[in-house]
Formats: sequence, structure tokens, C-alpha cells
Amino acid sequence: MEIPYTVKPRPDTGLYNGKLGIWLFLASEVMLFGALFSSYVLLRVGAEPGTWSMGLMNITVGAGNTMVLIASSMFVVLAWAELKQGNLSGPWLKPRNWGYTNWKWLTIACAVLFLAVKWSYEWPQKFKHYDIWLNDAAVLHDSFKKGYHETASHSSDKGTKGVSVKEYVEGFYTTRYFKEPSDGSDGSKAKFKDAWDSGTLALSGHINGYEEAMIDVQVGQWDANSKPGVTRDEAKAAVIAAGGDAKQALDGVGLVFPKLDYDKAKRMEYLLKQAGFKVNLSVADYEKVEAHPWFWRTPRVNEDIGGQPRVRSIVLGLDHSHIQDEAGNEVHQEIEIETRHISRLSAYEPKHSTFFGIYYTITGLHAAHVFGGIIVMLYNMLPIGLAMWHKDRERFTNRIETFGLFWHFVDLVWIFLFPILYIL
Amino acid sequence: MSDSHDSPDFLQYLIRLFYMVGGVLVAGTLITVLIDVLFHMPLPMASFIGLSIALVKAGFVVAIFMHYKWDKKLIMITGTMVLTFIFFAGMMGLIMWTEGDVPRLDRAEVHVSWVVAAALLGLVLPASFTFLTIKLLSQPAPVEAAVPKAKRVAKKKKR
Amino acid sequence: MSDKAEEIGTQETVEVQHDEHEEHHAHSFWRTYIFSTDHKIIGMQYGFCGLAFLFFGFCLIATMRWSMAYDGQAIPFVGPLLEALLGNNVAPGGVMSAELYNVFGAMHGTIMVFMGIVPAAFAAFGNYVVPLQIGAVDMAFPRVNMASFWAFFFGCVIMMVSFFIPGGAAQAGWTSYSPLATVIPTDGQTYWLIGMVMLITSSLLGAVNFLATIINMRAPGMTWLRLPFFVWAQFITAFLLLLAFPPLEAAGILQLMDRVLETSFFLPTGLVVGGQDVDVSGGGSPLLWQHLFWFLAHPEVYVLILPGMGIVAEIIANNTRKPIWGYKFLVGSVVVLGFLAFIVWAHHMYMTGMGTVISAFFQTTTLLISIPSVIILTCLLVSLWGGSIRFNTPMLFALAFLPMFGIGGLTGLPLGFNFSDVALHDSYYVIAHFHYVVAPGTIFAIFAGVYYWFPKMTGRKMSEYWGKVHFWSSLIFMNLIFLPMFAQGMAGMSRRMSDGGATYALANPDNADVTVGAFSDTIMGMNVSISAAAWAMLIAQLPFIINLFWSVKHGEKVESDNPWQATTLEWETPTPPPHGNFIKEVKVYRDPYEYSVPGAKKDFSPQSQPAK
Repeated sequence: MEIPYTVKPRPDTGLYNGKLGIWLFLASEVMLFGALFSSYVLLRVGAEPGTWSMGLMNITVGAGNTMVLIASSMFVVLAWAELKQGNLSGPWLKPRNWGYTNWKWLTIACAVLFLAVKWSYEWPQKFKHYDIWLNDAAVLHDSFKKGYHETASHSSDKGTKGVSVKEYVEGFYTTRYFKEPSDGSDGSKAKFKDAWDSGTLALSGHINGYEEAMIDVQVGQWDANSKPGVTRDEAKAAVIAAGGDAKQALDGVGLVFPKLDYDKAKRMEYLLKQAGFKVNLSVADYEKVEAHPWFWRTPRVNEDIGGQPRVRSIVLGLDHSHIQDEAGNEVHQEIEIETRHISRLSAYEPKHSTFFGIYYTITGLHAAHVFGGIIVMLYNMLPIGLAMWHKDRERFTNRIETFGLFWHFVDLVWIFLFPILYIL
Repeated sequence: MSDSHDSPDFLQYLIRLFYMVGGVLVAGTLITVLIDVLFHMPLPMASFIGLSIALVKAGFVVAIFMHYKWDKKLIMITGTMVLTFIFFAGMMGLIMWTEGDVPRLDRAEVHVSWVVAAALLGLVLPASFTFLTIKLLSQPAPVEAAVPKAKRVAKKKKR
Repeated sequence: MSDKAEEIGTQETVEVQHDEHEEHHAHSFWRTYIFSTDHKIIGMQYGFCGLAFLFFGFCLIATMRWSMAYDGQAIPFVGPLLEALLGNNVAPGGVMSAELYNVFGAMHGTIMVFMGIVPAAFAAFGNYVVPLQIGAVDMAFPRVNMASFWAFFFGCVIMMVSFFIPGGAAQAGWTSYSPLATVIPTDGQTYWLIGMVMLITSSLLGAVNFLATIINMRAPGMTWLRLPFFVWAQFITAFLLLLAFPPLEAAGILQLMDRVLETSFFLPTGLVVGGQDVDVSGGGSPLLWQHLFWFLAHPEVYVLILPGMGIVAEIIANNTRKPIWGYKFLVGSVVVLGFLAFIVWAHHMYMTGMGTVISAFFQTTTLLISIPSVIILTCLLVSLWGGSIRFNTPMLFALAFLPMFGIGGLTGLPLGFNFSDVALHDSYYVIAHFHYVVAPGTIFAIFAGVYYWFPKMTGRKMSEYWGKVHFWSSLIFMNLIFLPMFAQGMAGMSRRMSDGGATYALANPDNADVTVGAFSDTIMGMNVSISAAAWAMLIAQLPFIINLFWSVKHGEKVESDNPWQATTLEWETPTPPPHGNFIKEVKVYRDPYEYSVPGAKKDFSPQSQPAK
């Protein structure tokens, strides 16, 4: 049994099956991405002023990725055109004689580059980037002054050298959070003033460091009844395993494991409690860590340890605050914020705002399409896929054509995604 | 693409076209970014310009890369895509309309012209669509019509 | 057209020769019956799964009916089983908890619509019959066809597994309205969403395949207006699935993000659950979910009914022994129906605070869409006129379809107007309305199709006697179930109440007969009678199930390939059709329903019989 019209088009419809199928599939894809675009528009139109976090994207990276995808789209159609002329592959050193495989490898390279930029730069960058709302307007204004004094005084905005911090901050907030095109820039300024006065502005930047508690673990009285079934020997073994003096602990003299980091202290607390001891945690000291707190998103970060917070303060490298360090490099001005002043904070992850939610959803779904495309392309480059070329050249060419149609569609989606997510 | 497009001349012409379209797409992206950097304008204006450029780019991708230009006589493709865009526009438009049309106390009655318009839209659109569908499907589609013109262009370029 | 047909015909001849070679290849059991790419096997796989899920979904509602009739009492037989399977906090002492009622309610809808009727009516009959009726050797993409089935299968597995996770399956109704569905504390909703994405993917692959097959694989001479009406119905259905399902897939992905990554696409600002602010960024739109959901779910209604109409048209033409009346009108109506189905969805949302202008628009389109439905029904009714009708089992089911679908359709009109919908919204009236469309409508059509095409699939007929027993009992109990629901709904009984409205009825016991919102004893008593009818209905399906399996081996053998003396192409194949379907070249010379042609020797002239 042979399915008709897999290679030659059917005379009355002018189509071979694969091409018909892929166009129908693309129709459904149009509706899929169309629904997401509709959602984007509806959510954006319905968003309250100041909550659509537009303008936070790195346009350079976005435009670069657009070019990469455009190039891949061109390469894939060139690969098909070479195949149509019967050129399977050519020497890499003579671009004029390139064939299908050369162009296809370039396509794959572009697709991988596109995903790599997303995966290793664009997305992780945002996961480290925070908006921080404070609970005290005075502290907020103080932080702004500390953070932007240097930059504002060197700013050449508005033709004059140096503006006040408030003016400087207003400059980029009104084009960002309060981008209010419908009622013009005046509306944006009024909204900025309200937010400035009430202290509901968010500080925005990368968290570069933090102060974390060093914890003393104090071992209290051993009580056999607190954990039924625990023997004295087991308790002894537990203390020894923890590296302490068992006799001291069991006598209740007050054994202390000093200055442990959070994870170790919590683990020790758990083990000792299991062994039947009373355990008391207290903060001995705070240690400065110069790194991004990846644990920050877990609820435990706010944990109260003996009346002290687990994290006392954070170091925030503010956006739009470029200064020169000693070596002459351009860096962000860093300010320290005490955690007790923070009312809410959030990284640029899906949960942060509806904009980021839909940004990750659409680009994620698009990336999934790119990934699927890479797999199909690799299949068509391997011997198992190329076998079709040696069996039936026209059919293989058709297969590449239909794949090309899919790939161009993926490019097409990005052509619309780039302006709506990065620019408008 | 049909068999008559397999001639080497035409393919050479196509390849040149592909390079050109690639250039146009890159230029379109750059223009979009440049406009954003150079001018600050209200969102409706910016959306119009940004999406227009995107539409032009999309048009080139569909027409040349997806070689729809030479396939548009294939009514199954054209019909499906036209239908898809009608429904996409309907989905987007009607959702927006529904959300925008908030009930108000001062407008309890609907003018009868709305109903007439909706009825006309609802009757005429599907009826003409159905008529067209059945008429088109009742006869075999002409497939080769677009070929000679394209070929002529290709040869002229060659000389 | 004829020379074109000739031209394609020669190509076909070559392929038929290939076919005979291939028959000698023996495939293993797995390749032949499980991972098959043959459209007939896949059709039967779909059919088996679909019918099994229809039965399972019916069992769920039969269990729920106990809770409605005798709230707080242990369910006989099933109760201990539920307690053992799902845990004693879900069904303590065999009594159905309200949560379990919600689980069963949500899953009944999901299973019936997405895992029962779509696979049985669209995928099963479509896969088995459409390629045969258009004279194709197989579907256009056999391997995509297999992928479609297995995507469906895994979607079903995920749905089934969700019953047994802690917290149980989805509880927010088959519509899964946010924010309820998002904040509900069971992972069942997440399973539901993943399962739905699988089912949607399956339907999309299936739809692409059907469309490509019908467009590109028609036999020579099979022009568009010679397609049997069933193929037209499947064609439009496939288009509906192709273009309406992706928005639900998008919505499903968004809700999945809401649940898993805590975004707030469908969660508004200031959402409070259980007296506490929900920890989300807010700014979402609950109505967006409803729009995207109903953008699919209204066309889905036509996905459910159109294949049924197609089956009924085939059977009516065959058993009245005369051409179907107004074939072109049928085709035109079904195309209009498919088109209009996309612009009526918001009539499910009149109660969401919709403005008057837009609601006038949707009322108008909703009322307009009844026109093509009525044309189809009228054509089928008029086809009966003057026919010499054979009252066999498939024909009885097909005949019952007409008035039942009529009741279902006409009772929908009050729901299409927003002023009457305000009173009837979310009441048992709605339930009765759409069940009249899908239960005695589509499901009767599925039964009719099973009885009608069973001889082609197995070479044996199902028992006529038990078929008639099945038909009459089903018809009677079906009406006993759904007719009283109209009364209950108009009395104001709301859907989704696990005690059948008992608590609500107690609200004002002194003046129960006149107070709005309280129910008279008659209305409450209907809960018991409906439940009894439902259980009787369950028993009435046993003859069918036994008949189906028994007849595979022991049914009356058919003496020819065309036992019903039908004109369409599927009866030209050997019985059952081999891999590759046709053993001789197929060409089509005639319209689909040439019965009782004046001057012809026999009272039917098959499509492949050359015209003189």
C-alpha cells in the first residue's frame, strides 16, 4: 500500500500531502499564538497604571536575537534551494559551492545561539534583578539620595549639568513604570509625584550581597520523655556525631556550637531535637556575603532566629546609577538596605507581574518551538534522516520545504514578539 | 511550489531574492530599534509604527521565504489562512469589544441598528462565504496560472 | 472533470498493485493491533476507548445521582469501593462527600466531552469511515494518526491517575473557571490541565490529518459535491477543532502557569481566599479565561453534534431508500454552522456584566445559528417523506435523534436571549438543554453508527432483537431523566449542588410552594425519580455491551459486502477491509445517495457504478 501524493502534488489541489498538512498545522499555530497575543493585549489594556512593567528589557540583546533568527530563517530556505538544485553538501571553504548540509548546520548554529542567549543570559539575568518596595517613605528617599547623588550630579539631562536626585529618578521612572501614553507625559509625572510622596516607588537593581546570620546552637537539658524511645546512648552518639562533648551536653552544663551557618545550624537543631535535647538558636554575628542570594525566594529567608532576622541587610546595585570605580570601570552604585525596612520584594520572575508572566509564557512557548525545530533539523542531518535523500530525492526536498515553512513561522512569531515585548 | 518552478534559472533568481529579503528583515529590525531610541512618542503611534514594520517584515517572510507568492493560487492554503485570520481577528476584536462595552445605567436600550448590523454581518458573511466555498470547490482549481509571469521576470534578470 | 478523473485514476492503478505485494508481510501482534498505523485499527482503538469512557463517565454521574437523591446516606455497592479506593476522608463510610461530588462532576463533564464523544463520534467513526467513503487507501499521515491516538491515550491516563492523588481530581467543573480553579487546593487541577494539553494536541494532529485526507486523498471522480454528507460533517468538524482548540491550549498553558509558577493571568488584584489576601501580583482577568474557554467550548458543541448529524444522514438515506432531500442545502448549512460557531461564544457569559451592545450582537448571532441547524433537521425530516422505511436498529436510533435533537435545540432558544438567560443561567434547565443535544442526540447517533457499521468492521451483524430492546429502554429512560430537569430548572434549582438542593429547599419551609428559591415536594421528589431512571438507564446499556462483544464472534454472518444495500464507497471493500482497503481500482461516477433511481435494475446505484 502506498499513500498517494506524498511526492507529486495532486493535480486538482496543486498540493502534496506534507505541504497541505503543514499549512493546516500553521493555521492552528496562528490561533495558538493569536490567543496569547489577544491575552497580552487584554491584560495590558486592563492593567492598572504603573503595574505593566514594560521597558525593562535589554533591547540590544533582543534585537541581536531577532537578527540571529532572521539569519537562520534565510539559511533554511537557502538549504532548500540548494537541495532543489541537487547540491547535498559542499566544502566549507568555498561558500559559493555550499550545499544543503552547510546551510543547515548554520541554521542549527543560529537556533542554538538563540536559545543559548535566552537560557544563559536573558532569563537568569532577570531572576537576579529585583524590585524592592520599602515600608517607610523617609528611608526610601534616603536610599534614592544615597544611590543617585553621584550620577544625578554628573547627569547631562536637560542640557544643564547636574539635576536633583528627584528629577533624575523621575526621568527614568516616567518612561518605565509610569509610561502612560494615553494621557501623555503629564499624567506620568503626576503619578510619579504621588508615588514619590507616598513612598510606593520601588528600588530596582541587582542584589549583589547580603548579611547573613551566624548562629549559635545552644544545647539545653536532655529529656528522655520529650522523644519517647530515645535512649541515653543514642543521645550520646548524636552529640558525638555533631562534634561536641557528650558528657557536657548530658549534664546540662550548656554546650554551645558557635557561629554556624544557617543550613548547618538548622540541621544540627533537627538532629539534637530528635535525640531528645532542648535546643536554642541565637544570632551571634552577621557575616557579609558578596554573592547573589539564590535562597532569597524561599519563605525561610524571613525567618526569625532568636528575635533576629536571618538576613539583616542586602546590598543593591541600583539601575541607572553608573559610576566609576577606582580602576576606572563603570559599575552600579551600591546601597545597603536593612531588611526590616523592606515591605515586599520580587525578582523579575513570572510571579513578579503580569507582564513578566506573559513574557516568560510566550517566549518560553516560542523557545519550545525552536527546540523542537532543532531536533527535527538534527534528524534531517543524520544518516537516518538523509537515507530518504538517497532513496527519493524529491521526497526529501519536500520534507525540507515543509520543515522550512514551520521554521519561517517560528521566525514570524518572533518578528511580532520583538516589538510587543521589548519595545512598545 | 509546483514543478514549473524547478528550472535552474528560476532557482538562481529565488536565491538572490532570499538574500534581498534577509537584508530587508535586518533593516526592518534596525529601523524599529532606531525609531525607539531616537523618538519618544505616545503608545498608539508607537504601536502603529512598530506593528506596521513587523507586518511588512512578516509579509516578506510569508511571500518570499514561505514562497506563498507562487502558491496563492492554491485555494486550500489561501482559504485556510484567510479563514484563520478572520477567526483570529474575530477572537481578538470581540473579546476586546466585550471587555470594553461596560454596562451603564444611562444606556439601557440598544439601538435597533446594532441588531440589524449584527444580523447582516451574521447572515451575509457566512452566506457569501459558503457560496464562495461551494462555488470554488465545485470546480477544479487552476494551479498553473501564476507561472509564466514569474518565469519571465527570472529570465529578464538573467540577461 | 471526467478527464481529470481519468488522469488520477491511472496513478491509482499502479498503487493498487503495490498493495497486493504488501499483504504478504506479516506484522507482529503489537504492530498490527496496538501500535498500528492503519486507520481502521486506530479508529477501533478510538472507538473502544471512547465507548469505555462514555460508560465510565455515565457511572460517575450515576454515583452522583445517589448523593442528590439520598444525601448523607451510604451508597450501596459502590460506597465501600469508593472508600477503599479513594480513602475514608473522601467517602467516609461509603457516603459521598461534597468534595468527591465536585470531583465526579468536573470529571464527568471532562470525560464525556473530551474523552468520550470527541474520540467516539469524531475520531473513531472519522478514522474508520472517512477514508473508506472517499475511496482512500489510508489517512494522509498514518504515523501522525498513530501519534494522535497515543497523545489522546496518555492524556486519558493522566486524567485517570488524577483521581488517586491526594486531594483528588479537578473539582472546579469541566469549565475550570479561574480564580476557583487556580486557588483550589488540589493538584488534580494541574493534572487536568496537563491532560487537556495532551488531549488538545491529539485533536489538533487528528484534525490536520482528517483535513489533509479529505482534501487530498479523494478517489478519482469524488468531487466535493459527491462527498457523502458524513464526510462533509467530519470536514467541518475538523476545521472547528483545528481553529478553536488552540485558544484553549493557550488558556490551559496560562492557567498552568498560574498554578505552577504563581503568575496571575486569571487572578484579579485584591483577590481574597478564605479571608486572606492571596500572595500574587494580581492584575489578571478572570473573564479572559472564560473568553478563551468558550471560544473553544462553543465550537466544541458543534464538534459534538456534527458527526452525529452526519451518521444520521447516512442511515436515513440508506433506510428510506431514497436520496437525502436537499443535499446542497445540508452542505451549505453545515458550512454556515461551522462559520457562525466561532462568533457566538459569549452567550455563555451573559451573566458576567456584559454591555448591552455586545450582548445584542451575540444574541443576534446566536439566534442566527439556529437557522442552519433547523435547515439540517428539516432536510432530514423531509427525507422521510414517501420513503419505504426499514425500521432496523440503526434506523430507530437515527429516527429518535430527530425529535430529541429538536427538543434540545429549541429549548436552547431561551438561553440564547440574555433576558431569559438571567433566570435560567446555571440551573437544571441548562443541564437538560445540552444533555438533550448530546445524550439522546449525539450518543444515539453513535449507537446508530455502531449498529450500522458493525457489519463492515466484523463481517457480522449485531442482534436486532437486543438492539431494539436497547433502543426502546434507552429512549424511555433518557426522557425520564432529562424531561423533569426542565421543570426543576424553571423552579430555580441550581446545578452543582451535592444534596440535590435539599439545603436550599429548607431555606423557607413554611411557605415552600410559593417562595422563590425554595422547592416544592414535587420538584424535590423528581431528584429520586431522575436518579432511578438514571440507574435504569445504566442497566439498559447492558444489552448493548453484551451484544457488542457477543456479536463479534457469534453474530449473524453477513452474506455480502454490502448488507444494507448502501450506495457509498465503504461498502465496496471486502469485509472486513484489508490493509489498503480496496482490492480493485475505485472511481466515482455518481452522487452519494442514488437510491431508487428510476429505470435502474436495483433500488440502489453505488457511487462506483458507471452511469449509462
